[in-house]
Amino acid sequence: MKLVIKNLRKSFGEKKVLKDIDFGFSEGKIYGLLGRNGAGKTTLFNCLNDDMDIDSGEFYFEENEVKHKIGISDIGYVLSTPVVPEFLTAREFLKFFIDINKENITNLKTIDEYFDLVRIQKDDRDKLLKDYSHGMKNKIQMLIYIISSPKLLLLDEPLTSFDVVVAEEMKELLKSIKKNHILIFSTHIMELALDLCDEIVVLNNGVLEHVEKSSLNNDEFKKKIIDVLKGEDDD
Amino acid sequence: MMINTFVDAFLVKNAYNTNQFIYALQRLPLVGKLISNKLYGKNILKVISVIVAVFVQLVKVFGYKLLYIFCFITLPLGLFNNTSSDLIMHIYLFLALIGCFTNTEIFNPTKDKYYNIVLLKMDAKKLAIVNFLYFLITTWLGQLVALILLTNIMWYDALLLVNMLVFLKVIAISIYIFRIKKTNEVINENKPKSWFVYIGLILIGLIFSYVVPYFGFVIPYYVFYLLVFVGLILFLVNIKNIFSFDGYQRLYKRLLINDNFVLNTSESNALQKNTLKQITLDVNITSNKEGYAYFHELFVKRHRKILGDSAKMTTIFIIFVFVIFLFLTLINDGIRVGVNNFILLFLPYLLFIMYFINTGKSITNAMFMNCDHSMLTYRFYRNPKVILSLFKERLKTIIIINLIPTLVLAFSLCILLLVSGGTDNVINYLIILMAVLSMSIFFSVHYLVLYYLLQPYSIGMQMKSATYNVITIITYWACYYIAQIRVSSFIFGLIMILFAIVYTIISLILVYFHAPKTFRLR
Repeated sequence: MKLVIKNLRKSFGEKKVLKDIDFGFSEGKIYGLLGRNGAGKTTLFNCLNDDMDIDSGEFYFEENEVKHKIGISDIGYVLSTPVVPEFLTAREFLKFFIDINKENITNLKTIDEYFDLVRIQKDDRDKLLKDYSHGMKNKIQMLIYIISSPKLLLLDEPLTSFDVVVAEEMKELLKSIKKNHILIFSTHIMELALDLCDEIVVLNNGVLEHVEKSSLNNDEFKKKIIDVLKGEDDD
Repeated sequence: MMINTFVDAFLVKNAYNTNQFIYALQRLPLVGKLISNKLYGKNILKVISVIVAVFVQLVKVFGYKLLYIFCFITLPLGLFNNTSSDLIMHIYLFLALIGCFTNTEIFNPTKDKYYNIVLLKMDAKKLAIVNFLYFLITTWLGQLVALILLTNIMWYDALLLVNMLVFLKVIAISIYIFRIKKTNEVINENKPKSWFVYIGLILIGLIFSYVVPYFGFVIPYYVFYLLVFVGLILFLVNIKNIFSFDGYQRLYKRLLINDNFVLNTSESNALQKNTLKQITLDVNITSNKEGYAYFHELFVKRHRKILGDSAKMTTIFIIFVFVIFLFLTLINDGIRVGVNNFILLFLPYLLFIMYFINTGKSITNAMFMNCDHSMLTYRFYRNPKVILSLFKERLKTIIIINLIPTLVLAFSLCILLLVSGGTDNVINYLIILMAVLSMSIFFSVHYLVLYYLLQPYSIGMQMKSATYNVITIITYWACYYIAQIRVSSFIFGLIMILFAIVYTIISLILVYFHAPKTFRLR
């Protein structure tokens, strides 16, 4: 299965943020989406998540040359600033989520098992989400999508708020779920992208560009990425 | 220099007013597209904005004060059939007493103060004192003019009255400052420690202003002059406390962060913190329901204060007004006949009153700030089934919350009608009851449907959409014009009931088909 984006365009007033996005993302891989500040990474995610109307173009799943519409439960979006309903406890939020998504969840576990999975301590589970730290809110947001396991998972700078130990845990978690999923992971941190992602995609001047690693060693690859980011791509 | 602080604060306010205006223009349908971001850099709009701001200040200084004196002094004097100076001074004095504790300027957390002190790091003490002096001078001037124009009191008595007002305000601030020094509490004029005591004291003040004179007791001239003299002494003793107080910075740091003044900008974090403060976040509150009902019940239970408080206040206010009218109806024949005739023609006005009473708008506000703002980023929350199920639960809640003041109002009207001489047609009681109910349901449906169809807030909780504002204004004017119609309660009531039913059905159909598309973050 593939996520196909065709001729996607989006502008704000006179500013063309996404000029002509044409790309295919394959299942089973983690894509690192790199781009400079304001390049439009979040805009791209917002468009894919239907948070924004697009000006033109389309995106869909493709399996054996057959197009599928992207359904509501097919997509998960972890925002860089996590938003959670602050008036609920973590347990209540998960209960609500599971309640209304029962039919879409395969091999349902108990709520505590899910908490164990992302290592949320016992005494935090019944605390209101408003008292959660940034990183813990992020964990909860991630957990929601681990439960519902949507085919496409968009992660906007998700690991930056975690401490080193948790970041390592989350990396392992993402690697463990990448089978059967398409993961697109936006970040500013090159090391993280190189370490975690299978493919590197650069968003520059409103266009998506795949950066081939081929036979380059890590340093050469980094230099190549930076050149692309600077817009000095001479391939 | 004090004057610099004043000018700086004014310019800041002017800059954000201008920017808000451009931002709102850009969000207008059709025209909005023509307005470029470059406009933010142009000075011409800032100049226009200065002119508008000066005009607004003039309206505030003179317009508001004229209205105030007219409503609270000229009108009641007409009722008393007595325009003697000592009565005017009596009423004014007690009103000033109420005002000096409830309208202090210094302890009013405003958006301007937030920008200037928290964001722009202006000197809090200078700003507080400058604002307060401006407030005193404009109040003094505005009320002096209003008193001379709208009452027949002599100019030197008017002068004494407004001076007394200044004395009282300074003394009140000094008392508050004393309390801050002693107990280290944060004083917020909009959030008294006990609403019960607060409203009680206001009521006592009002009773002294209006009810006590009715029984013939009015402060005699010479006592009044004596009071002004005592006021002057206390003023002189206390004025230095305001200038020497060093805790303004600390006070505002706490007042402006812990409080719930509403910002219309992208200071979403501050805003969120502020709205969240109003929530009864008690983990012991639970729900046995499932799914959407579970989610909604927890929301309502944990936001009981923010959702129900204004309905509660309205109810108290209605009862208060009802008691006054009941009292007047029972003691005065003229008023009794008036009340009787009026109620039978009153329903169109009532629509206008219901417009103000209905809390639908503030409830949808709270729903967005504390719930949908975060939940709408989840795709599953935008599932049509989720949207419609929650809509249903919410509609029920809004209607129920508004039902309490509504029923109190409806029964108050029926009782007033009864004691003022009743009506030939008993069905009138039923019509009044049903019409008030249907108005309340109409507004509840109206605001929730508008919210679901237009969802006026952006992710950063920025300004509302222009369409939403336009419709809100149309609603206001529609209610205002309908209030001018002279038609019997019977006919108006029937039309209102039918209208509410038809409107509700149409809106629900619209929500059913469109909300899944329209209910999202902007």
